[in-house]
Amino acid sequence: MRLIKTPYHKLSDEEIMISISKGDKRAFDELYQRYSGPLVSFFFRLMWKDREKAEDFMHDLFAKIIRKPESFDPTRSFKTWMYSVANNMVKNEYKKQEVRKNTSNGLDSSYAVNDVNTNVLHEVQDVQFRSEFETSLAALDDKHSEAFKLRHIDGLSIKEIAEVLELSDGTVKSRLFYATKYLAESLKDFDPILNRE
Amino acid sequence: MMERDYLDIIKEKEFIELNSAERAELAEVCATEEEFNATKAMLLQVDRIVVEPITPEPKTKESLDSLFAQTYPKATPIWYNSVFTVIVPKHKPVYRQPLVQIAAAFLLFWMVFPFFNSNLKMEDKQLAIVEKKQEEKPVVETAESEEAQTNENPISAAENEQEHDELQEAETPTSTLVFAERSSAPGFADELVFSAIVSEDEKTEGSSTHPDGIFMGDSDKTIAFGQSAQETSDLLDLLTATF
Repeated sequence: MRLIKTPYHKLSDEEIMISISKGDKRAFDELYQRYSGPLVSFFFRLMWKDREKAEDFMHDLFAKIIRKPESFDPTRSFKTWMYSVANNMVKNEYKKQEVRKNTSNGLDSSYAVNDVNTNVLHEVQDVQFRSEFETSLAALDDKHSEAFKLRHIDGLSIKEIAEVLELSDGTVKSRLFYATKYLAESLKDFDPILNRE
Repeated sequence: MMERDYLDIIKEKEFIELNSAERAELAEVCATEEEFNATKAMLLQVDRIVVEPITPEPKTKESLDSLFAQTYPKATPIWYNSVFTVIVPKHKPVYRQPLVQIAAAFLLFWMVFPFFNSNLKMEDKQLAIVEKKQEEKPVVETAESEEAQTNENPISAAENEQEHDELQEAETPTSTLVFAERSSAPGFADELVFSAIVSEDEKTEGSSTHPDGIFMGDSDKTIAFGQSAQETSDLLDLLTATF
């Protein structure tokens, strides 16, 4: 018998899921701590920057984890499984809405400049670049922008994206190549690094 | 650890640092140095603008906590639950569980105890036999046993005296009777102390030598009378008439 239990923050996602299925509340708290923020961001980005909807979707996903933890296959990566479920939820929502909202052209409040001591010029450049980037990303078709977002914003690997989107690694790589090349071409006139130097 | 891919190569290296394998891999995205630098700039800038994850609202967590509590209700704390946790721990193998160990010890004791118990009984029996033998050895009748009888029944003692006198008159050719002396002591005037030695010839197994046919025991030294009552019909009549 181990006198001291392994701290939850050292457990893998898969081990935590096993504990949750046994009714371990602290394991659930740890999982929430790890993924609530990224999931809200994920849904926020894909749900037309609707914060309330993003929170609701995140809540629904964790509720699914609580009610049916056995739906997760411990042999798989939890992160991949979770993003697969999240992605399917978004797809279903798209089908439900049928019309996808246009991405907002204005600045999000979370991007507001708070530090008055930072270089204002750099901040402006960042804001400009973000605006250009979002416009270019919106111009991309969904399948390419989705792969790009999962890779660069959610931080998934090519293999994980392939599992989430249920595609082959080669297809994901090809979509990423296309999206990267397109965005680089669209934003080639905007070189903030060179401008700063 | 996330697997490194071509995007990491672009972000980490300069175009001139790329080896032939990496250039071949990146040829589809950025074949020239100009394309490479544009892609690199774009990717680095994207990393800059990626916002920190949004912090969810506390009410979402509270709602999930209540859902968790409903889904996994905690068992009511009952005293024996904690006891069972100690004596029947789930994570230990069966042979290391305290309850099983106690049960095994009790079973062992229960199986072994009867053997100890039976040994004690046998010893007691043996001792009893030894004592009995010791008691039987001084079978030679002493007057003490007779004495007790005479004390209990004075009438029979008087009759015995009468019998004794009559027997004295009658001679017995086959046996040598050595009637004991009357005690001359004043306290023992009425007590008849006698002993008899029966000759070897007179010993007959299973037959009585008592005048009344009373069997006096099978010890070779304890027969008191050698003449049977049948042989002396007068005495027999006298005795039967008396009773």
